[in-house]
Amino acid sequence: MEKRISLFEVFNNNIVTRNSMSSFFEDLNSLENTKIVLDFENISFISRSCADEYLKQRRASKKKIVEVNMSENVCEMFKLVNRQYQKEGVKFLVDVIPRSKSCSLVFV
Amino acid sequence: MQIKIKIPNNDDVKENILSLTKVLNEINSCKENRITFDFSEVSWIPPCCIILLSNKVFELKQKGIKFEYISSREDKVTEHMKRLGFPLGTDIDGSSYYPITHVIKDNYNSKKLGQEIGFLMDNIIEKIPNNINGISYILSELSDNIEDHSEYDCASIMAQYFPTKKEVEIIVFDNGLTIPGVFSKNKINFSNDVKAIEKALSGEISTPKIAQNEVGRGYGLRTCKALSTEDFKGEIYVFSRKGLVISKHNNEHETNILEDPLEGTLICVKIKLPNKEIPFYNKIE
Repeated sequence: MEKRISLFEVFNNNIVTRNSMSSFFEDLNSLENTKIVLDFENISFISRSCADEYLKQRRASKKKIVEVNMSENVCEMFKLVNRQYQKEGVKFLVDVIPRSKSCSLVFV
Repeated sequence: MQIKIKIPNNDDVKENILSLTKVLNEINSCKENRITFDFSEVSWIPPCCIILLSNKVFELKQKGIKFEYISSREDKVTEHMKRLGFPLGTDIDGSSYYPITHVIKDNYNSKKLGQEIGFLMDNIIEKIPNNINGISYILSELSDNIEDHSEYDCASIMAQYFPTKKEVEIIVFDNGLTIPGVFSKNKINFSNDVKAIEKALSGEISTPKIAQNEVGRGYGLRTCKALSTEDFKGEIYVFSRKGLVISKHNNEHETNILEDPLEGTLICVKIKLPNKEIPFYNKIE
């Protein structure tokens, strides 16, 4: 059973502060649906700590999560966080692959 | 009790806060249940002072202390203060500024500070022609610092865009533990409050319990400083407890030990807008 969530409806244009993201994942993980599509349409900015928390929470979640409509800016922030992990010798994401209208997060 | 607001009547952030901390400590020592702020001799008051006084009024209100004020003799000062949200903050948006907003920590709503910062970003950014992401980045890092480290009760934020000068000023204050206070609590050694702020700005130290949860922690204030002073050719002022550190473009650096401590952390960022967007994502380490 799949559920689509518009992040714009949850956060508005900007996703800011780590607690906002962890609180969102608490709600998400309590859903009955096994597959969740997270729609990043109209999200213009995600903070560094939110992107970091997103990656951690997504990896820990038992749900199958798919991202869609991720803007270039949002992808850039995930890339930035990934670079910081790589610098610390931690493998988290394999890559953030740019696509025509979105980006894919490829986890280790 | 009547408290005379004595400030230098100019735009100098350092001079103003050094004067205002004396006034704030006088207010803190007041035991009466009614306080009057006397602005009659104030002929100019910069936003950094208005946000601190507004936060103090908010705190007095929370404690049930009655507050009133005597306006400045100059109407322009009173209008300016009201426009920016004095005394208790406002949700009336201005043409080139986002007025003072106070965020009370809500343990049942962990999204609250994020939502307020998000609104601020939307509102101030639509007034600014370029460089929206760099400004969003600075705002988000400052709010993360408050949320992750400070154990605040009340955070106050505001931002202003000056179209003629093409400058943006962002001011954030929290009444939490302060940077030296957080370091002491986490048993991090520092010789004085200025050194504690310098360590935080250098990214050398992040709060251990946070650092364990985030690889690469400690980037926040350091990258804020780098973006503000190098890319945006601006300046950043950090007042926390008895420490003041000012960093400016061209590696100008100034420190000061405050005679009267500030109960909280005030960060004021002034940046100049370049003509085109700064590709900051690739520049941040």
